Amino acid sequence: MAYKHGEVNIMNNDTTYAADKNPLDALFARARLAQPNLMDDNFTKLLVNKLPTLELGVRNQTAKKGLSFDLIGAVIGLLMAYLFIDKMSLLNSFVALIPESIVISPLVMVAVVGAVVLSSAVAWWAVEDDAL
Amino acid sequence: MINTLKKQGLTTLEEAQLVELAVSKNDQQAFAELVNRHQSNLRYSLRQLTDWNEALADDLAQDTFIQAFKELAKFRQQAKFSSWLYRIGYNIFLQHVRKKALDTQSLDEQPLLSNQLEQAPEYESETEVHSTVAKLLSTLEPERRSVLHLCLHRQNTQQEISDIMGIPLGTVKTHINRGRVVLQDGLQAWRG
Repeated sequence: MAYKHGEVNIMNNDTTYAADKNPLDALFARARLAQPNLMDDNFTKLLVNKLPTLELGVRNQTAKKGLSFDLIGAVIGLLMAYLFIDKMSLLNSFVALIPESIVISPLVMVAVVGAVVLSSAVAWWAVEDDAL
Repeated sequence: MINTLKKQGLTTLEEAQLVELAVSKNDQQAFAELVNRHQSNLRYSLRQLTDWNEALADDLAQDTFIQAFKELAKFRQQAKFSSWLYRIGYNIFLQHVRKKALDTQSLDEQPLLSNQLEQAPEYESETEVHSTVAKLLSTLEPERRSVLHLCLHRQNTQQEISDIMGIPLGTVKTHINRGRVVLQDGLQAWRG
């Protein structure tokens, strides 16, 4: 059987396909009639188990939006400070805070080591938590 | 008990209501009911597009439903949910083809299909019919394969295929005409 340009399908009735019809249409009609109803098994269950992760993703997106608002606020705050605060007096106050001599006592050493250990532990926890 | 009753209630709801529940109340059971209704057709179509690779087709179907869940709020109720889902599935399939360079030898380049197979397929049983159709379709490039599947198996109109796949109507017509010729030649080559 010849097919005109753009013709979609001559098979309007699945039950009428026969050997004398176009073999391609006959093959597809046979496949269509025999299309199995695939059992769900665990397909839906597995899929639904993945969905809470997506909710988490949505929450992360919301958190990112919040973070961008924070950044905009910080930039505006810095701009205000730059325009309204006397920078020289601020610098002088800061320099005045620096001690003329530093004595490294055992107590200072213990405090430094403690701070390093604490920050390392926090960093490790943050990385492991992200991995989970 | 409540969950069972709820599930029984969901099965009686229209698709539009299930979508509304899934979007507005983030109801996963409503979405699961939508999955339950469409998983068989989608998985079958993806098997036809992936040369009857059942594991791959199921993975792509999972990705399709996950993407659909993400984009459910964008679904317009005037469209058919199955068409919208198939569009996502087709895009997921194309992404996979691009990423993994799925074997898509074209009969346009290799006109003798019989050369690609050790022997002509026999489809005495119904199961063999499906794999034979999938094998035949696998000789077309992915876009044309999808068009021919929608046209010959799903019996969508050319306009519907154009809408589902997001390609111009003229391209759909070209795919159908050229694809039919290639598939008919392939079938004749098989039959000797």
